[in-house]
Amino acid sequence: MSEKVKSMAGKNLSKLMIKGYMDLHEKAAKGAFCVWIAINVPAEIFAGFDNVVYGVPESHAAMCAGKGIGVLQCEKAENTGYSQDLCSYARIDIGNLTDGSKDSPSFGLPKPDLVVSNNNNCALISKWFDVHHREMDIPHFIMDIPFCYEPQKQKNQSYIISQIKDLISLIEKLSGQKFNFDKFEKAVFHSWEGFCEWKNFLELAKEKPSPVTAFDSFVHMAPFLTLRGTPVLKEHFKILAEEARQNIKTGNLPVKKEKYRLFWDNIAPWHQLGKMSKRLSQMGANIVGASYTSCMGTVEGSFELYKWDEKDPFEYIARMMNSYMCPHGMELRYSSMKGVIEKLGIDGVIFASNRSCKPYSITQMDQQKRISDYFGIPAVMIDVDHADARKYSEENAFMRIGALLETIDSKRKN
Amino acid sequence: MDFVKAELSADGGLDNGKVILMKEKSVENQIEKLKKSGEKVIGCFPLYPPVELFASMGLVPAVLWNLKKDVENLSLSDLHLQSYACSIAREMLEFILSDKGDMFDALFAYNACDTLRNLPEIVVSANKKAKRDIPLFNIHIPQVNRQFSDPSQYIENEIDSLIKKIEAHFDTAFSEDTFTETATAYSLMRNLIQEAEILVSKGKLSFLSFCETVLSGYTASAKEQIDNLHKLISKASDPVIKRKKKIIISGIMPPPLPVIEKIEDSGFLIASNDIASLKRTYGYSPAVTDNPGKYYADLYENSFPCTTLLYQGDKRIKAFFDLIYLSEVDGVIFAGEKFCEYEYFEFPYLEKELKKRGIPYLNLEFGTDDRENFESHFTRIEAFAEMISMHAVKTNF
Amino acid sequence: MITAGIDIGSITSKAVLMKDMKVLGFDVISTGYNSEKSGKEVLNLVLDKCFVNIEETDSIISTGYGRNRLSFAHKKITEITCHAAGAHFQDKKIRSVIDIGGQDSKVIILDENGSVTDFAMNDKCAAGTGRFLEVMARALELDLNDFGDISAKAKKAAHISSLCTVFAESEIISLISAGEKRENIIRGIHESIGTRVGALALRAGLRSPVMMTGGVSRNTGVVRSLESRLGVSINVSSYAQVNGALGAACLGFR
Repeated sequence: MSEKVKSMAGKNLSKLMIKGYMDLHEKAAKGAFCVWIAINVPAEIFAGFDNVVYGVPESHAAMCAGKGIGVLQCEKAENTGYSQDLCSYARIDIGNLTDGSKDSPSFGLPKPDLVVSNNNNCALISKWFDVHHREMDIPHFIMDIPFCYEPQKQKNQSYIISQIKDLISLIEKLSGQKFNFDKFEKAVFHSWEGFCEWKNFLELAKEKPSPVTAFDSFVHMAPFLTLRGTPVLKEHFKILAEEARQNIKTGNLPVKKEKYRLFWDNIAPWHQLGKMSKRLSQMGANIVGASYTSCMGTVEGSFELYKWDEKDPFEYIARMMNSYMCPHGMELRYSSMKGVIEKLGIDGVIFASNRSCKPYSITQMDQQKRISDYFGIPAVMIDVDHADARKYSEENAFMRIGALLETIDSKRKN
Repeated sequence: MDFVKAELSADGGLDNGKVILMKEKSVENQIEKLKKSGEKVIGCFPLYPPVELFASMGLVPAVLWNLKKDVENLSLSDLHLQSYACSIAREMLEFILSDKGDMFDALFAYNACDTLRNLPEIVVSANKKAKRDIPLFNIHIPQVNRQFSDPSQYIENEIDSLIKKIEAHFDTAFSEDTFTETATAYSLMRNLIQEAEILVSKGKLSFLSFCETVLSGYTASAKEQIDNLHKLISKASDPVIKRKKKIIISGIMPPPLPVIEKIEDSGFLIASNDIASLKRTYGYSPAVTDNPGKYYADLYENSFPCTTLLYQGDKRIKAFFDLIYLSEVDGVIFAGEKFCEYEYFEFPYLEKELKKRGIPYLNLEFGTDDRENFESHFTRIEAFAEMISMHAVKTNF
Repeated sequence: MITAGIDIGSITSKAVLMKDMKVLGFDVISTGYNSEKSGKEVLNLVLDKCFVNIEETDSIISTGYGRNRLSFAHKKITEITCHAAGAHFQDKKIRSVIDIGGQDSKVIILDENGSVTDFAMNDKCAAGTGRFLEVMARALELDLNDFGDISAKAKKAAHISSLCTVFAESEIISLISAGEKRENIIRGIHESIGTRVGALALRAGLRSPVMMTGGVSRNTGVVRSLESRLGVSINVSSYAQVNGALGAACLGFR
């Protein structure tokens, strides 16, 4: 974050992402069957086909926001009648399509033959993908993932598996390609290995001071979205973890004088990563962990790695459908968060109330109270929007964060 | 139905079926009355709970649609929900967490939307803190596209598990015969609502009185509601003004009653509606059967399409334009619910198509703050009326 | 034939008197607590000014927020229809009217007869209304009337991103403390309004030529910002503030 020189892992990430987008465009141009998916859709199944590629509008939107063109893209959608109250990812994606992706850093995504939404981390993504379904006249497959208040039940796992198989049949029918189980299984294995390495990396945040900052972790999540099921996951996260270990030794740390160890709850504020991390670092504060990064590779109720027995890949990916973005009940999220706060030795929590994401934000007010009561640590709520900078006020947010740090200080004195 | 009677006479008479002095019935009073007569009441989160099933098992379902008049402020809800949650969720939470919530014998929720799916745990945990023991039943209503996946078995299992939970909690037994009877009563009720709707479309009943009756039915038994509807229908009279501008209203909830009154006073005839708490609820009755699993598989697949039932997107658009053509309307009024993104994702498409077809429309939005002061809504409605009539009479200066 | 149009707005009340489709005179006063009283007062002022007796008027039409409170008006017409009629009276070619009022902003599309074919109004939020400008003027401790001139001196627009009036106000306060030039801040405020009202205009399907009415149209900074955002030139009504009342008076001839 604060370092001027781009890290090894950072360079590798840029290389991977550029190559990923280039491959995607190239293969699609040569006639690959292209699917657009919601982030939780198990993309490993596409690897089971010879020539199926996928794009992730949410990830593309986050990238636009990170590159500072979120507002520009949102306004294009608003000018065609989309309400400002809609999710900013959706507005960016819809706005981007109004002018042939002319402002997109990746030239957008290749035109899809099919869209697949998943209603668990957000039911509205189905409404959003319906926009594409109507505009481009392509089929829309909705993965219906029952919301969990308790750990996933067997009946729901079976229900999800049956839908995954329905989706495979649909792609076979539409693309004329045959699904190959072995290739799919291999892809699932690659993702699983990627999760293992990711967890090894996040574990390093236990160190004091921490070599890990959520601002970097947020960005490094991208391959989990766009390069799922590939061996680069393991390779990349190995580099990331190795570099973090080196940094402990050399003292090249994100916040050198780490006075406050904070935890972040919600999607990353993509348009603020640079500014926010710099300002926090000047205050001696490091966001060492986040529910958004911790949930990868885990299941509801705990942020510890969910260990796959490496048997049935269908069962595993169905089991992981409540992973990305932790879309499950308040009790389960509370239990996950409790574990990681304890483990990382957190001094305070920032609940980022995100106008663009009700699934993540509703229950945060209860969660804030519970966490403060249970741990006796302060927690603040700030208003953010993950991709629309117009709905964020830096002064307003930092006034609260400042107060949070002061509370931590006064608790220490006592 | 003493309550309705008393209110009608106190209003000092009826004009064309329209209650002159408007007073929205309080949900609290209605539930209180049910409780006094010894009924058990299950408070249901909107939008489409399995009401027939509850009724057949001795629980009067109260669908908690419109509690604006029942909550004075949102002080309890504000402890749990951010201000960008919709008014339906915030007002419902306020009601349930207040003393009024004690009246419920049980609560019910399903995965209606991203906000409503999170409310059950907020309610349960707040109730637990307040040492209040009200069971909350929950089911998942499948959202898969029917052309790719068949969810009927899943629905049947969910309904089955719901029945078992109710049986266990209330020490009661499900009866196929009672379910058949209840489903028949609800079917009759929906048919009567449709009969009344036709009278509204002919100008023989006001949309205002229609809404009042239908909405108050969400906190009443089917039997009571059937009586109310008979009364409403008997008030139909020949329209005073024959030629009015025909419109349909679309949205999650109908506009507040004073706004409906304004719409009608501005010379609009509400030929039909595409409203979740109205047409999308009463627009379809499944074939009566003694098997609730099959009944609900049918209902959720074939109901009058709603934007919140994700698999009905295409059907919803088609149903919307079918309504417009069947009713030969002059315009459309959208009654948007602030922060209900479901509607707002489809709106630009409907807007574009309406423009293409040359059908004027007006976009109104209602939120938590719209309780009393509707001046700016009135201006928009009047301007819309002027706009439509100016097209007929050309200005010459 | 003599007609009067009275526009009771939230801040000011306006009256226009016309004879045979020619303007005899107009006046503007502050709207007090009592709309009826303000309406009568402003009408009497303009009647006196033009030496016309109230008995000589054939039609009195009210418009604006207080239109329904004038018992003596013969007809009440919304400001949307009246603004269209007022613009049409001034220039038959006008196809769109942008009106930024204190409480709301609107974009009206009209046809060759001056009839409204479509209109769009701001949503619940105050950003993009005259109210937004007032709040910002207060934060800057400046007179709103000077905004246009001061912003003309700006070399660049300060970036004000917030959609929310409260957030934007705090953004401006931090810009001030960061030493940003006030002309740049004001230009930024105008850009912000331009963005909001511009989006409304695009949604309504803006058609040229465009006329801007209402008090804010006298703020050249807002007009410039809208022009560059929409890529059109905007005629500012010479009757800017009284355009609604003018339209009402015109509609009295119908």
